[in-house]
Amino acid sequence: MEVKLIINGTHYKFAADPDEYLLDTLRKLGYKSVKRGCDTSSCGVCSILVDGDLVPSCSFLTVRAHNKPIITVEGIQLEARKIGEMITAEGVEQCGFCSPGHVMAVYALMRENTHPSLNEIKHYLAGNLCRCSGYEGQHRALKKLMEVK
Amino acid sequence: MSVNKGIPKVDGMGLVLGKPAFTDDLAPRDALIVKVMRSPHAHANITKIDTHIAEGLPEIKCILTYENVGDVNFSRAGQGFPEPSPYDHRILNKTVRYIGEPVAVVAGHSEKAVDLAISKIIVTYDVLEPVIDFESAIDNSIVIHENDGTSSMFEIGHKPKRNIAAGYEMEIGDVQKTLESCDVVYEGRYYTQAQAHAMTEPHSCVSYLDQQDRLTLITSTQTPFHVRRIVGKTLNLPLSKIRVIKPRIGGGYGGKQAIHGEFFVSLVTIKTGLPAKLIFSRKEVFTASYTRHAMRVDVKIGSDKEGHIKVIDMDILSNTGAYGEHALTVLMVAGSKTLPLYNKVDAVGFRGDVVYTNLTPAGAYRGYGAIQGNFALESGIDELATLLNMDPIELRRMNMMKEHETSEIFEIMGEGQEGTAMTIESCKLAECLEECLEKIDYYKKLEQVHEDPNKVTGVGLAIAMQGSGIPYIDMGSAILKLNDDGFFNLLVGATDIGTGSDTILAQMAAETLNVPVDKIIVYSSDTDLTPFDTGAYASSTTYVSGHSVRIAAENMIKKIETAAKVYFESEDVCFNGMDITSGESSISLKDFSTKLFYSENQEQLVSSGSYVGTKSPPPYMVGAVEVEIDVRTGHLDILNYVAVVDCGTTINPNLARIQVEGALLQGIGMTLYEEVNYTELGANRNNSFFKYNVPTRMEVKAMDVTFVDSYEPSGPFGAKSVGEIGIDTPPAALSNAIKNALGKRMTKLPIRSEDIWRKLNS
Amino acid sequence: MKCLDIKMPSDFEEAYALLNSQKKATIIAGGLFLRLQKQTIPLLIDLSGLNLDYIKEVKDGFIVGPMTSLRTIEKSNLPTALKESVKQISGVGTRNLATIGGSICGRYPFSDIDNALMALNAHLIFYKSGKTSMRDYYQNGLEDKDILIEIVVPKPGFSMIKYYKKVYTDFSLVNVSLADNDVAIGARPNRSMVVKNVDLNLSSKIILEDVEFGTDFQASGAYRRALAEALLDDILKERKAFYGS
Repeated sequence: MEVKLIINGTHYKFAADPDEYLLDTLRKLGYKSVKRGCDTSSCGVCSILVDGDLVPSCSFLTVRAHNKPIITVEGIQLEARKIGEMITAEGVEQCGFCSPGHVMAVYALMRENTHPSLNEIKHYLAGNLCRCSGYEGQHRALKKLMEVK
Repeated sequence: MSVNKGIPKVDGMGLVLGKPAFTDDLAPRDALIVKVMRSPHAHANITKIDTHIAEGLPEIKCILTYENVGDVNFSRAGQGFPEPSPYDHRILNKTVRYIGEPVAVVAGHSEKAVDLAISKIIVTYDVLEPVIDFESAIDNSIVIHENDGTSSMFEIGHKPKRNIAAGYEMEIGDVQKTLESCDVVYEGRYYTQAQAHAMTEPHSCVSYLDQQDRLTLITSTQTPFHVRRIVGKTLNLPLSKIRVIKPRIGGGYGGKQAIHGEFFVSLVTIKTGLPAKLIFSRKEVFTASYTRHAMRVDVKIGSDKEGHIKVIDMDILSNTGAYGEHALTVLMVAGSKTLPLYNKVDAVGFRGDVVYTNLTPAGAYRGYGAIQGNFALESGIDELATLLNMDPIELRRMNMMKEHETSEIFEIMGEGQEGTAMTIESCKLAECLEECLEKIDYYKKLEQVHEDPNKVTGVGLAIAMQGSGIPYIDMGSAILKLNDDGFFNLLVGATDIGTGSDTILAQMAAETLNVPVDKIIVYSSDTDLTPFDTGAYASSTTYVSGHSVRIAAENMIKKIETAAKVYFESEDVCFNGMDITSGESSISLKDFSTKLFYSENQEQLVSSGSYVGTKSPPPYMVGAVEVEIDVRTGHLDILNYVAVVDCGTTINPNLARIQVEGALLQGIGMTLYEEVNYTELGANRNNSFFKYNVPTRMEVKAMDVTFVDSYEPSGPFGAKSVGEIGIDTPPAALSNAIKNALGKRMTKLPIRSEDIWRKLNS
Repeated sequence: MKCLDIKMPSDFEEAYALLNSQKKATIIAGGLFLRLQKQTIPLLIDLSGLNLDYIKEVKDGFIVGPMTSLRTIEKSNLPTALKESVKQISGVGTRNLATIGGSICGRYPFSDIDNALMALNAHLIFYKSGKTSMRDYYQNGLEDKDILIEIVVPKPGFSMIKYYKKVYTDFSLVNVSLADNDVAIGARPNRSMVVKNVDLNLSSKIILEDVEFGTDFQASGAYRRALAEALLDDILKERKAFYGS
C-alpha cells in the first residue's frame, strides 16, 4: 500500500505492507536511532513522536501514519544535544541503547509540561526502561535540565 | 589530572543523539535474515528433520540442521583457553535439551520468507521425559548428556552420567571438629532463582566475507577474542581467516559472555557467500540465551559465645540448565568471593555440585556466584547474631576482613583452578560500615515504630566483596600510536559494553602522558586492529586493562624522549605532555609529531603494554536498606538504599557511581521482583516483559551511593575494579531488614509480597 | 501480527459492511494487543476516520468516543475511578495509542479500565444492537459482530480505583473500584464482578465475602482476597476523607 510519510520534515512515498510497523519502516529508511528492545510494547526504546504524541513505533502500523508528521531523534539533534549535555554530565548514558527513546520521551514531556515536578518526570518516563543505570543518575540529570526545585 | 574526574563518556553524546553504532545499525542492508526454529520440547531426540519443502521456497538461501553442521564438541562459554567449562555443546544438537534449543537455522532474503520456511520444516521428535527440578537431578534415571561426546579440558568434576556438569570441594582446617567445639551454630538453607539479564539490546550478530574472503563478524559480545577462537577451532578455520568486531553493545552483564548466534550466521555466510544477520527476539533472549545459575546454598556458621566466628561451611547445589557454560567457575566464586569476608576462622569448608537440568542454560551474570553466596552468608551472620543475642553489626566488626590481613582461601580457590595468595593492601570495610550506619541512621531506624498501625519499618545491612580480574589468567593489552598534530590513537582489546571502559582507559592514558583526555582517541575490541584482552568480565577492565594502558603510555613517553634526543642531539630531554624541552630549546608535541611524520628522522612512534594480574584485590561494599512493609499485604517499599563502596581510586567518579547504582537496582530486582516460574514440562512462564518484572524507576524511593577514600597500591592509579560489586548486597540486606521489621527470615528469592504475607499469617 | 489488508471506512455503514465481509475481519483500535496475535488477520478495519475520539460532558455524566486514547482519559476530568484506572497501564507512549474502546471490547479480565467502568455502571452503544450495560457486555459479550460507537459514563458522588501491581507498570494482581455504593473487583484473576448497593459501614471482609478469588502462578486466591480487602479499606478511607468524617 502506498503511504505518504513525513519524517523529520522530509516527505517520502513508501510502499508498505499493511502489517508493517513504523519501527521497521524507519530503520529501513535509515533512521537507526529507533531501536527494537522487546516484543510486547513494554520497553520504550522504540519511542518516537507521531502527530506530536509519544508513541511506541514497534506498535504503530506504518499505513496509519499516512500524512502524519513523524519525529525521531535524527530530527531534533539540537534539542537532543541540550538534553544530552545534562545526561552525559552525569555519565548516565551507559550502553546507550535506551537513550534515543529516553530523549524522545523527555522531548515530548518538555513540550507538554515546561516545569514538571520530579514525580511528574518519573511518571512520564515510567514506560522507558533502563537496565544499566538504576535511573538515579537520569533523575539527577533531568532535575537539572528541567530546573526542578 | 585526568583520573578521579567525572568527565562525560567519549561515546556518550553520540549515543544520546542516536548515531548508528549497534550491531543491527551496522548490518549490511542486503544481509540475509537468519532465524532459528526452536525445540518445543524440553528433552527430545530429533528422529527426522525434513527441510525439503522449506528449501524450495522463494528467497530461501540456506538451511542448517544438525545433519549439515558437523559434530564437533565445544563450550560456548566466553572464557580463556583451556576453558573450565565442559565441551558439551555442538553447533546444533540431535538431542535437544531445553524448550527453545535451536533445531534448524533458516536464512533468506526477507523475514516473511524465513518465517514461512520455518513453518514448513517438519521435525519428528522422540519426546523424552525432562528433568525440571534441579534438586532431583543428581543420579536421576533420566540422563541429560548421554553419548554426545561431552568432555572437559581438565578435571572440573564433570560427571555427566550423574547429571553433574562440574563439582568442587575444599576444606581448610577441620570443619566438623570445629563445629562440634562451637558454643553456637547457625544452619540455614537459601534459594536463589535463575535471574534474567534483561539487557535492552537483544543478542545480535552479523557476518560477511570481506574482499579477501575472511569471515568477519560484527557481534554484540563481551568477549570478541574468545568468539574468534571458538568459532575458528570449531569450524576448523585458521584464526587468521576470522575477524571479530565488537560495536557498541546494548548491555551485557554477563549475558553476552558466551556464543549466541555467531555460529549460525558464520555458517550461513560461508555456505552462501552472503552477509547474514541474526537478531534475537525478546522472547528468545528470555528462553534461549542464558540465565543466572539458580542455587540452593546451605550455610553453617559456628562461633564461641563471645561472637568469635570459628567456622563457616557452605554447601551448594547449582543449576546450570541444559549446558554447562560457566558451571564450575560460578560455583567457586559463590565461595571464593564471600567466605574471605570472615577470615579469622579456624576452619572453612566449601563444596558444591553443578547439575544439568532441561532448562534454559545458565551462564555468566554479574556477581557470578558471589551474590548467591552472599545472600546465604550475610543472612546467616544476622541469624547467628540473634542466636548469640548480639548486635549483628558488632558481630561483623569483630570478624570481618581488615587491611593487611589475608585469607587462606585466596590461595586455594581461583576460577576453575587454584587461586593466588594475596595480602589485602586496601580494605576499607570498617570505614564503609561506619559511614553507612551513620548515613542511614541505622540504630534509630531499628527502633522506629510507624504511626500507621498497618505499617512496619525496618532496616537491614550486608557487606560484600568481589575481585579485580583473575590473576595469572586475565591478560589485557594496549597500543598507543602518536599522530601528527600531537594526538594519540589508543587501541585496546578491552570491551566496553556500556560501562564506559573506553573513557576510563583514555583517562588513564591521558593521566600518564600528561595530555588532555581529548588527545586520546580510543578504538576498542577488534581482533584485527586492537591487541588482545580477555574481555569484559570478572571485573577485569579497570584493573587489568588499566595497567596495560598505563604501561603503554609509559613506554610511549620513553619513545618520545628517545626520538627527542635525536632531534635535539642531546641526552638531556624532558617531555611534560605539552612540550619537549632540552636546555633552552623546546618544541611542542604538536609540532614534533608532525615533523616525525613528514620532515626529519621520520618515524612512527608506537608503544604497547601488556598486563596480567598477580593478585585480584577485592573491592568492598556495605549496603543498608530501609524498608516499609504493609502488614496487611506483605508489600515492601524501599525507602532508602545506602551503599558505601571501597574500590580504591575512582578513575571516573560519575561512571563508578552509575555502575554501582545500576548494579544495585539489578540486585534489588533479583531480590524482590524478578520471578522465574517453569511449568512441569519446562516452559518458562515469565518469558516477556509482561511477566518478567524488571524494576522501573518508581520502585526505589531513594538511593545513596558514595565511595570512601581508598588506594590500592597494586592498582593503576590506586584503582580496583567496580563493575560487579554493586549487585551483591541487596538480597541479604533486604532479608535482614525484613527480619528486623517482622521477625521473619525469608530464605528464597525473589521475596514476593505474597511470601511475606504468608510468613506473617503462618 | 500478520494481516493481509487494512481499510479505513468513512462511515459506520461502510465499517459494518467490512466487518461482516469476512469471518475473521477485525476492528483495530490501538492495536497493542492485536499486535501480539499469532494468526493472520485477513482484514483490519481502522475506525480512525470516524471521529470517535472525544469526551463530552453532559448533565449527569459523560459521553466518550471509543477511540479516545487512554492518555486523553488520564488527562481528562472523567470520574476519578476511570481517570486513575489508566495511569499505570504501560507507559505514556502506549497510552497514546491504546483506546478505551479496545479495552472494553477485549473484555480483558485483568483490565483496570473495565473494572472502573463496571463499578461506574457505564453503558455502551453498539451500532446495530443498540444500548447495553457494560456489566452485561463485559460478562456475556455479544451474539453477533458489532461496532462500539459510544460509551456513556455516569457522574458518581465519589469514585475511586485501587490496584496491586508488583512493579509500577505491571498488570494488576487484583483491582477494586468503588462508585457510590457499587464495588467492582477484578483481575481475580477472572473478570470484574460487581457487588451492588453495598453498606459501606460494613468491613471490607464482609463486603467481599461472596467474591471468588482464584489462584494462578502469579498469586494465590487467598492472597488476592487479602489484597482486595486492603485495597477496599484504603478506598473507604479516602471516601471518608472526601466526604469529611
